[in-house]
Amino acid sequence: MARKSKEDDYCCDADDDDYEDYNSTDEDNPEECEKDYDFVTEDDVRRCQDEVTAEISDRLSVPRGFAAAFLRHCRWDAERLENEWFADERRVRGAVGLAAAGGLDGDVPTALNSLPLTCAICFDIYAPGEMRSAGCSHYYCHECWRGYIRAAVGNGARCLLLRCPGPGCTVPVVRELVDAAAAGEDRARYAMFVVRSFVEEGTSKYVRWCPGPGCTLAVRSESGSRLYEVTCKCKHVFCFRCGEDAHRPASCETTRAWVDKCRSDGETSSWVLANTKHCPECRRAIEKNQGCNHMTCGAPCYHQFCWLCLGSWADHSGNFFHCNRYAAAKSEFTEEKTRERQARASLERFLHYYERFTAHGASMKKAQEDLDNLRADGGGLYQLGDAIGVPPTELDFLLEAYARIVEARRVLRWTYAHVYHLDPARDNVEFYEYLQGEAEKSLERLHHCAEEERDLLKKDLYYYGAAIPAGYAAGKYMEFREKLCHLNLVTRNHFSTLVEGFESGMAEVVS
Amino acid sequence: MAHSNLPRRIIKETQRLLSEPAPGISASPTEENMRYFNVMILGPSQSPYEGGVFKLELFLPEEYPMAPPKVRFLTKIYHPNIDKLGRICLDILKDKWSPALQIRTVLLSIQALLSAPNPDDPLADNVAKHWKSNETEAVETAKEWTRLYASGE
Repeated sequence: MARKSKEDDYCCDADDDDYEDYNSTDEDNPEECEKDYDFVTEDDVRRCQDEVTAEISDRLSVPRGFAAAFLRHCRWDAERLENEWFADERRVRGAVGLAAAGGLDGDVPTALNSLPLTCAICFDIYAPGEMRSAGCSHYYCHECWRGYIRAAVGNGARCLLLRCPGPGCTVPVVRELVDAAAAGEDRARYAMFVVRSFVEEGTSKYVRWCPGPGCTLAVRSESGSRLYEVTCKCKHVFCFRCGEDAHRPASCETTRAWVDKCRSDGETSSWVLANTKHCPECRRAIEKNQGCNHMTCGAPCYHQFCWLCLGSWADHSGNFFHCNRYAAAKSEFTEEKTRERQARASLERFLHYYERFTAHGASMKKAQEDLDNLRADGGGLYQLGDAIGVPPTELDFLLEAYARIVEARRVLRWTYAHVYHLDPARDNVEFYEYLQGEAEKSLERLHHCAEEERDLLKKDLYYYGAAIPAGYAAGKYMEFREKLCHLNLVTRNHFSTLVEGFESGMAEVVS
Repeated sequence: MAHSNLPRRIIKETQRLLSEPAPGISASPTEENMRYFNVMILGPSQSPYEGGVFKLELFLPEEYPMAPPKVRFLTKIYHPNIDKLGRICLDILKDKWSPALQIRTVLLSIQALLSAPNPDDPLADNVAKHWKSNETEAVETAKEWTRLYASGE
């Protein structure tokens, strides 16, 4: 027995060691340590909110609608509400517009009229029971309440602050009255604002709605402290701190500045950039229909060039990848250099970065589409597997390569926002651009291989059809697979150096 | 007067405005559009606007009474809360609007605004500055403008 327990201890220790190792690699690798978050649905949020509201309603002996109003006033912090309430109930009541003490019958969120009255909104006379108040003495007919609440809900989340229409009356219109009087769709919208308020106005900094279009999930982080980028189940990737699209390695501040800049200058820029690319050799208009930036003009020109800088591709494949660098026009500072020319130069400088930012964004989108198509049932992966004669599960490496491309394009586009905001006098711009250039070069090779060479392979195999020489397909496939996996690895390394370099602010890393 | 599509509330308000007008205020709808009112407000006594007749236009939007009426001075007036286009800075015409208010209450509030200009919440910046730096002089200008533009011609 004793021996066995010793063995157990030993096993435990080993486990612990493993665990620690695992943890420490986690911290070294930023890609891994960001998974400490989970997803909550709107229903989860609502349930949690209902629980808190019910508890407060019980404890303070007030109807739920009023409990919610008090809670919202205290940013949904039940503890804070209880402290404030028991310290100074009058003040809390006053803050939401309720009288210092409940009426004779206690707090009533809504009441019906007991006498015939004229509605002060539509001026018609109604019999007892045909009118409602928010608990005060101002009764209005059902129809007018419906219209009043509809108008308020149409104004957005401010409907949570709705008061009785009586001039000067501060009594709040709460959930019970809305549920009794409003039309179905307005009730639903009101309920949505209530739930949203819990996350958006709540003190819990660790829950945030996914800003993805149409997504209703919220993301909850464990600690909140180190969480940066979040990939929602809806595939939207966003920054947990600022809610913008994921923007590593640019900081939240740089991102805000960049987004503002794009918003103000983006329109001009889009106009300048729209449909203006021509082949630098034969001047034919070129449409970019794939993600990679290596362009090959059609017959008979066949000129190969870079979509971004329009330079010959030959200059890009060697050690001369420099299309990511902004070369300021070398102009002498003559006296006649007008403000106009400076403005133009500053727009041109912005355009340089904006164009690359946009282009990598478009390439990212295209790569994501390709990835989705590959993954789809009976999609590209199956067809390719068929042609080569391997099960599609063996082609996972292709999916991995595409996932890398999407991620790398995202990172790369934000490096342009980052470099735009660098101060040449203070920052070692050249070094940033060096890292960026190296990473970009590796990514273009990877993207080209995944896109073009995959196509070539497919065409090659189709061409031979059934008459395919023995071992030919397998050989070609192995060659492709090896190359792609290698490029994927190279790109991964380049980008982890890039992100590390950019985020550490790093001029000293030069080696 | 064709008003088949007019809500009963607007009809009742109009009838009451015509039969029991508030002192110093008249408002009547135009023939062509029952939602468009020609308004006249007399300058309140003991105000710089005393003796003036001020013309305004008032329009009831489709959403009225859930949305406030749109009101504007047509007569030029020197007032810190009324700009040179005649637009009025008054809370009940904006976020403090309630459907339980009426045309009558709105016009009474505008009349009260003439008695009590509020340069701390200005719409016409230069007028408000004038009011705060030299009230006597600003009041003189307001009286002058009343004589020049609001003499009821």
